[in-house]
Amino acid sequence: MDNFQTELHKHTAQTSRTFARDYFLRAGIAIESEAFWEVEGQLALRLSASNDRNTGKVNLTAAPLSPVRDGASLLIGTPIVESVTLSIGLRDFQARALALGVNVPTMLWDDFTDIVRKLYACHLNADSLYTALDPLVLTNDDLWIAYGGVIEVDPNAHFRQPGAPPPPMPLPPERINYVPLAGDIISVVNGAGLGMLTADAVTRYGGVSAGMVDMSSGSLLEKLAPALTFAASLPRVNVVLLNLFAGMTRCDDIARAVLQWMPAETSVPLIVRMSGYDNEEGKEILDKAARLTLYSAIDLEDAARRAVHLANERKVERGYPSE
Amino acid sequence: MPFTSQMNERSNVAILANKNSRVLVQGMTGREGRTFTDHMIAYGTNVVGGVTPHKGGEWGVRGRPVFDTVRAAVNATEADISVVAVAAQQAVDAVYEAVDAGIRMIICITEGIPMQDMMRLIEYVRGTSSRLIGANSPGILIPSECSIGIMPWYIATRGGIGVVSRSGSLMYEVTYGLTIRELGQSALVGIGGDSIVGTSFVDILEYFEDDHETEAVVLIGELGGRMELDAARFIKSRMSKPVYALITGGTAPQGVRMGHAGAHYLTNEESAGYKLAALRDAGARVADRLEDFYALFTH
Repeated sequence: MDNFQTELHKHTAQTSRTFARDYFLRAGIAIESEAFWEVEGQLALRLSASNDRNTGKVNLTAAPLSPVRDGASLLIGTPIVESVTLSIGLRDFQARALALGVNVPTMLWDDFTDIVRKLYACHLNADSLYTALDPLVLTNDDLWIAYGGVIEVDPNAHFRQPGAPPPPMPLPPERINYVPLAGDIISVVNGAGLGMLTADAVTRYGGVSAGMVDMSSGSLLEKLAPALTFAASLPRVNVVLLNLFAGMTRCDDIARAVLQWMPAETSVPLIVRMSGYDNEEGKEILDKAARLTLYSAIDLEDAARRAVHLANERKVERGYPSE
Repeated sequence: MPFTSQMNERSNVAILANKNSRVLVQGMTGREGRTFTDHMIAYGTNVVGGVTPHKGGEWGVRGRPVFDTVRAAVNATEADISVVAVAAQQAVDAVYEAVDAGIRMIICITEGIPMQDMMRLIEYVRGTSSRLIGANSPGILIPSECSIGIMPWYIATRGGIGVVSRSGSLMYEVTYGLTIRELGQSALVGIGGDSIVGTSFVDILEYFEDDHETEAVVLIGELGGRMELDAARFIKSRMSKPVYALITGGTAPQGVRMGHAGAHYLTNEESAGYKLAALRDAGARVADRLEDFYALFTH
């Protein structure tokens, strides 16, 4: 990973921690964020809330951990899970079931229930996908202390969560989605399914996908140039693979838009594979243009094979050791 | 339940939607709404009106009336299907409004709805007689009958294959591939790419299994969740018709969201490879690349 991305990642991790700590604090849970190395206590837990996509409920999980040594702890025993129906909400008996399951002493059940309630409230209020106190320790003096907190805000809910940390990646143009992966072949697609299919094909020919730039629905011709410019400008990218199903746009119009976008002296090769209305005319326009760094593929397999070949060539050119 | 004679005559997918279905478009007056509504009407879909708050009384695409509320639209037009194509921040409210007005089937095109909003919405819809398709669905298309949603109409031709998919773009790609190979379709249903959706693969497989026009089923799935595994169990225990499955996302690293909100896996059971194997074991013919997939139909 290049420095830019590492720095960005570090920065985001720090902002996430600060966001979670402040959020928990406002809800009445103080996170002991001072560096800890070893923690003595009678009990250590990971207490978490997550959205279950299969049941549509919120799962509260209490997982018993080993004592904290060298700043880390391990999962021991079986996690206890309680599922909360959103319209009914968390009931006290569910918090008691968690307490009983992980052997919280009976006289501390009320304190524990209070923490579970606050965690659940944070999970809902923050539009979180995953919320956790990790580890949550019960000290020998019967005090509950949380040494770490996580709140993973749903990206779709960022608009109503002020202060939520942004995703750790270069930001794509408006209304274009970007999924980064570790490789050097970026696909530009109009639909995530097509993007996955493309990444799978690249992998099959021994290449490594750099992820997808997804123009999704909406006006393809308007999004094409900004999407290609963004993809070609990403660090580490050696090849851009444009894979489209034309939908309501005609392939010959797309071909003309590609040529119009293409800088005369582009260094990043572009491979185009299109399907849909007028795709033969579209391919013909690209072939006739005879640009040095433009390759128009017959099908996806052809496109992927070509992309991997060009990416390997470019790696050698740029002085990467061959693998 | 015994079939009435009328139900015997009409195929099951035509019960889902047909050319007489009375369709509303929530969000018809927006730029994209105008474009796809125009395509829907051109295809022969019986679009009876649109809903946009503050624009009631205006005339929308091809002279269709616009109403302020879904209830007013239903009163005037007896609409029974609604397409929701409004911005993510208004979409949840739009679906609640459609359910409240008694719409039978709501197809939510909108992408990017917060997960907890969807969880509440789906829990609510399950207690009503409405069916929710999506969110993040491209819609439903019954060849030669109607196109309800944003699918490009020219990809499909009438025939015996029922197509159900989580991805829109892949469904277009595959359906077009089937059409140029002269393999027509009975219906295309996009159930949506989100983590949690109102209608599952199994719901649609049930329609296809009971439908006398559908002879075979194409299922297009991906990594994440367990819908494909539920489908595998259903295929093994209930399906008599052949199922052809294409599963994508085999290269996705664990935990990375592959563009669709729902396309990420945390456990091995949610990975593309595991799903492919489960479907194969259940008797489906499977592939993970396009060329192999089409070859399944010729062998």
